[in-house]
Amino acid sequence: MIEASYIWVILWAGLVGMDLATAPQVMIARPIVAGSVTGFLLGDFLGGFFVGAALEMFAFDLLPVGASRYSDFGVGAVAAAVAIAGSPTEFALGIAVAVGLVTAWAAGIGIHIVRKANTREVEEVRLELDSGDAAVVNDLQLRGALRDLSRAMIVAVLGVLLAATVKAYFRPSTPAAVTLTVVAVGAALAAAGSGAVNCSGRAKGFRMFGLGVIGGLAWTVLL
Amino acid sequence: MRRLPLVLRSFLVQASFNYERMSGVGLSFVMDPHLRSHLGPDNYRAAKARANGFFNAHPYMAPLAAGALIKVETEGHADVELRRFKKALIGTLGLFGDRLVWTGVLPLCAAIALILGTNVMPVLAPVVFLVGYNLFHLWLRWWGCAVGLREGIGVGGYVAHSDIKRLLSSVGPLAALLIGFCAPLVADFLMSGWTLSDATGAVMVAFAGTVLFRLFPTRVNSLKFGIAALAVAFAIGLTVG
Repeated sequence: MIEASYIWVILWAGLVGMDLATAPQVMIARPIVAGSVTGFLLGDFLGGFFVGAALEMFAFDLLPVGASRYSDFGVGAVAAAVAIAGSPTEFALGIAVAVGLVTAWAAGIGIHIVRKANTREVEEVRLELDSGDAAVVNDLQLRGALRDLSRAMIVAVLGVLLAATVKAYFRPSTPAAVTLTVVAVGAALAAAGSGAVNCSGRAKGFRMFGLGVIGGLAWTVLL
Repeated sequence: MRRLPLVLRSFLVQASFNYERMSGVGLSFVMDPHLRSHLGPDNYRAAKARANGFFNAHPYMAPLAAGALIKVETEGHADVELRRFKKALIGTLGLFGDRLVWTGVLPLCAAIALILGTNVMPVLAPVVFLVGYNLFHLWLRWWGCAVGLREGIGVGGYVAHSDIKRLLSSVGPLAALLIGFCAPLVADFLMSGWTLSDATGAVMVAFAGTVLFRLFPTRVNSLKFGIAALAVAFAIGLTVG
C-alpha cells in the first residue's frame, strides 16, 4: 500500500518539477500546492500542508528569471512531505524542512544540468536552426521536456530515499527536534523578508513588510 | 487569426530552454502554425530562421511576443527591421513580466493562500492559490495573444500605456505588505503551543538571516542560510543529545 503511494508521489514530483520552468507553469510547483497534494497522496494532508506552508516562506525568495540558477522548492516540498507524513508535525517539521531544502538544492542543480544538455543539443543542430528547419524544433522541444521530467523524477526518488532514511534512522530527542523546528521557522521568516524586498525594492519592500508584520502580529495577538 | 493554438503552444515555450538561445526555440514552436498558414514556403523558412534565434522574456509573455512577431512577419518588413523588433521585445517584455508576475501577482496570491490556509481551513490554501493565480495567469496569456496579434509592431507602446502597466506600481508593494502580514500568522500556526523561548529563538534566527542577507546579498540566499542554520542546529542537537 505504502509502495503504491510512493509511485504516485514520484509521478506527482515529475509533474511538479516540470511545472517550475518547462511546462505548463500553472504553479503546482509552489510548495503550498506540491506539499499539500503529496500529503494527501500519503494520507496525511495536514502534514503536507504544514511543511508546504513553511517551504512556501522560503519560496518567496525564489526568482526563476531567465538564465539565473535557482532551486526547485516544488520537488523539495514533495520530499519534505514524505519526511513529515505520519509523524507529529511540530516535532518533525524541522527535519522535514531540512530534507526539503537539500532536495530543492539538488533539484536546482538538476535544472542547470538539463539546460546544459539542451545547450549542447542546440549547438549540434545550429545549422538546421539557422536555416529555418521546423522538424528539428519539435525534436528539441520534446527531448527538452522529457529531460526535465526525468530530472524531476530522479531527484524526487533521491529526495524520498533521503526522507525515508532520515525517518528510519534519525530519532532526535524532543529538545533537539524542537530546536530544529525553531530554526526552520526562523529561517523561513528571514526568507519571507528577503522575498518582500524582491517585490518592492530594499527600502520600500522592508517598509511594507514591516507594516505587514505589525498588522499580522496584531491580528495574531487580538484574535 | 486563431488564438487558441498559439496560447496552448505557449505553455511549452521553455521546454527546450538553453543557455545559448534561451527560449528562442520554444518561441519558434509557439509561432509555427500561424507562420505555416500565413506565409509561402520561402518566407516561412526565413521567418523560422529568425524565430529560432535568441529570445528571452517572461514565459507568460510568450503569446504577446509571438502574436506581435507573427503580425510583423506577415506584413512583409525587411529582415533587419524584424530582427531589431524581436530584440526590442526582449527587454520590454522580460522586465514587465518578471515584475508583474514573479515579484507581484505570484507572491500576492501565495500570501493570501497562506493567510486563508493557516487561519480558516488548510485545504483552502492550495485551492484558492491555484484558482486565483491561474485565473490571472490564463487571462494574461489570452490578453497578450490578442494584443500581440492586433498591435504588431506597436505592441511596446500599447503595453506601456495599458492599465496592466499601471498595476505594476501597486502590485509589488501590496505583495510585500501581505508577505509581512502572513509571516507572523504562519509562524503562529507552525509553532502553536510553544513557549516564549521557542518564539524568541525563531525571531533571533530570523534576525540573523536578515542581517546576513543584507551584508552578503549576492552570496547568501534563503536556501543556503536555511541549510546552514539547520545543519548547525542538527550538530548542536547531536552534541547535546
